[in-house]
Amino acid sequence: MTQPRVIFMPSGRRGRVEAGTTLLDAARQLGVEIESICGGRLTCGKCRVRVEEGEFPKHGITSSRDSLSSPVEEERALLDRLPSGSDGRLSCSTCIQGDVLIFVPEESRAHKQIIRKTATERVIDIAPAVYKRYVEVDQARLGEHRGDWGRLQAVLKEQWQLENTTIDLPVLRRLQQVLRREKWAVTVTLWQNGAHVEVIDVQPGYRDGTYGLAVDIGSTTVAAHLCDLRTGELLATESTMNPQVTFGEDLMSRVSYAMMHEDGLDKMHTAIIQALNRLAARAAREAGLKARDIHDCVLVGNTTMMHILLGISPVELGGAPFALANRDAMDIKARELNLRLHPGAYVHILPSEAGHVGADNVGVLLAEEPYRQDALTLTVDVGTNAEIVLGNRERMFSASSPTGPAFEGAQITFGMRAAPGAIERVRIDPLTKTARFRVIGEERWSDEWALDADAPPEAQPQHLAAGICGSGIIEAVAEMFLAGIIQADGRFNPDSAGERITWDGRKPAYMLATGKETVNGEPIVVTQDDVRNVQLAKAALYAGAKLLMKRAGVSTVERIVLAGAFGSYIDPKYAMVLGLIPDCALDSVVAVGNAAGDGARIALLNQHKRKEAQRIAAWVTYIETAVDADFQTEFVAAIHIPHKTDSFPHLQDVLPEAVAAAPRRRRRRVRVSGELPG
Amino acid sequence: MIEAELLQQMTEAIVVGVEDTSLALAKEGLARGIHPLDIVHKGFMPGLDVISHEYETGTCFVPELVVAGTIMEGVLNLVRLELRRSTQSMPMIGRIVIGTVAGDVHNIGKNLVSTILSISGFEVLDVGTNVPPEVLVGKARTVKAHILGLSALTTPTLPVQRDVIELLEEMGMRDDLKVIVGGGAASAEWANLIGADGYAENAMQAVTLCRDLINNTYH
Repeated sequence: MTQPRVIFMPSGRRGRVEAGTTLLDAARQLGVEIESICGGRLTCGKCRVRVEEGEFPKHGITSSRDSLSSPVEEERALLDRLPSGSDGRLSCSTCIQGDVLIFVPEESRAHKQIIRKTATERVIDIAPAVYKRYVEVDQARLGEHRGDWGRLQAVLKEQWQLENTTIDLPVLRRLQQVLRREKWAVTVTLWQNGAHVEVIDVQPGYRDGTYGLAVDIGSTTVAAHLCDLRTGELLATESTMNPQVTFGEDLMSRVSYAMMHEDGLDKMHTAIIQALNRLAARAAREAGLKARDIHDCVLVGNTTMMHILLGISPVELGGAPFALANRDAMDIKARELNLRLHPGAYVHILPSEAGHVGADNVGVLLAEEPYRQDALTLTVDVGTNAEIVLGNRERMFSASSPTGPAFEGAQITFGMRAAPGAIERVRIDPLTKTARFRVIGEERWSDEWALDADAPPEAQPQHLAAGICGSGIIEAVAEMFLAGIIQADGRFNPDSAGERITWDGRKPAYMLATGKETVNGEPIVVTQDDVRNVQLAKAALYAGAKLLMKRAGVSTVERIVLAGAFGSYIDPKYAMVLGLIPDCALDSVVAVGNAAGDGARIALLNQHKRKEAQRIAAWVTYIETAVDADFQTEFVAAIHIPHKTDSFPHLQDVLPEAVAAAPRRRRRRVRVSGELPG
Repeated sequence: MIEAELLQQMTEAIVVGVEDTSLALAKEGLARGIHPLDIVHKGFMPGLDVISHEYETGTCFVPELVVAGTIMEGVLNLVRLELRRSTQSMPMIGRIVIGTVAGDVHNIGKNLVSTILSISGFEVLDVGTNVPPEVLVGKARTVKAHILGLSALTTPTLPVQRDVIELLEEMGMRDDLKVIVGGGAASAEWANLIGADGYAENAMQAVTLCRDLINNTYH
């Protein structure tokens, strides 16, 4: 019998283990860090994990609860005592007997995730869709038959010039009681959509404070910003992993999950709604409020996320022609989605541009407004799927390019997400070929670390290196190129030698961190295959940008905007050295952070921006790059570092001379001898 | 041994990836009376094998394959012309119909596989991307293909590979040809699961796979 296969999510680490191995040991063998304080004595319960059941064709396994040893009495008892429910298993006392897919929840991970999606300060005109008005309503009298709602309508018209108001039924149900509580003085919360105004809440007396939530639902991370709708002030930001990660690492796997499992859509829909409710509650608590104080909400996300959120099957997005159920903006009662905000609150969903360019990209556009500028701007939102927009006030083109998960640390031997211990900055000495680096969670560069056993604690690093995150792998490959360790074609330089470069058979690798510098004592290396995966990812992005440039009839861009949580951590110089983005003056390349979330915040605080978003989304011309006849040529040319034919004059001082000016023919050493195979 | 030297130069030229030199060497070889098939098998094929091995180790990559493919196509055109002059033709290892399944519009990987199979001596009919099962099966039947190659880069379109196999079974054609699958979403496990005859991770492995399938089935 073959050894059972185990896959740990969300890291995706997998392997075969001896039957009978505990989940905790298997995790350690595969480099997955699960928290365990009691060390397997069934006391702490910190190592709780979840078994995902069903068929997972991508991994080629069928995972089942029955593939694990049944829980012993102590485990059952401990699970029952844990606050987060008894649906999990404790990895220290669970043995693997067959194929399983295990999800390690955030709280059980030894290195908890740092999710760096922080809202930046932007100038926003405050004109919210939801606002409060204080009114004193005429008391009901005998002989006057307008009804209480009629009287409220009349005063809204007289005092606030609000015509044709409507009222939400649950508000109407409470209206009479509320009006009479404080002598017919009430605070009305209104939701405005163009000319239409709806009363979504009525509170007795004078009430201050109107709050709204802007949420960016990323496929990996969900970030929520709680704002004061009157002042625009950002009161709280909360983020969490998207719980749908369990059902598939990337968008396409989630679409697949919805196809393959009858309850797949339902599970993913419920998971995201629950996550949103938790986020709303947490953000409200942080601001000293309750979730039901939130009267408005704007959501952005990619098209698949929005479909699943609305309970619409994303199956059509899985294949050509990538038809959206609806491209336009939507206003939906939060309660219809089981979102626990104020019961009268609406959720506004920004429009999409095309099958694979969603509301998140529209959010980026709202935040950056390239459509108001003269400068020809290339906006790139880097993720597993890169959204690329090129243009200015005259015209705009957009595209989506399948970069794959390399920039999120997947498909890289020592790749990891941005968490403490992830290498995020890299410098390589061109002479000695030794590297120094910086990890997340530690300010000092690795060459300032004191690693001896007797070093004083303050000199020791907070975190040893655990892996390489997206910005780290970009810098690593770019620095390896600058140091001559790899050539422009991405191949390890055969002349390159030194203790940092190892040749395992004919497969070379570069040692970025020595065993002393890492968490588990094993060196962290960048392999030839890692370099190749980065090349494929960056070529997809560059080729997409290039096709848009061709479509616009330009050969250079004036400004580059790097958006996305990951985008903010890319050093523009290295992005350009690698050839991820085309040539541009370095000071015109800006990283804007989570612009999609900022766009959501802007739409939350300004109702006119919602209309603007609708106009822009329909105005941008979407280009289907995959079917463009030139895509293949552009893609192949962009595999080179930085590019086979395009020049990078702005990197003149950085790149080896010949590369910046005009790329020359790549020289390869021919190894042809009598012992040829075949 | 001027002939051996010339063949050696051909091998080097395709490995280095210089198209003009390669074609010039092929012409020179033909002019000197080297047998056209020797130019392919003793001149350029060993170079392609070097590239193939270097691809496996990561030394060579997609651009090098594309260049080698272009060179080889040029060489094969010259060789075919020469063979036709003496009413001969290129021996064909097997006939392959290849396409990206319905729903998926990606073609770069599939194109590369087509090219490499074709320059390795297979007759390849590439039916493009976003191809419905009926068209793939219909084409395989009309041209009497030995192998049907199905590509899928995106996971949601993966089940279409299974649909094709089921359609072949329905039409009673499953025993007449071999089905191989590939593309970013596919895996050896998946191939096994749907009862395909093989999976290849890249263009080079596809050549080996097809050769093995033909040898084991038809010889």
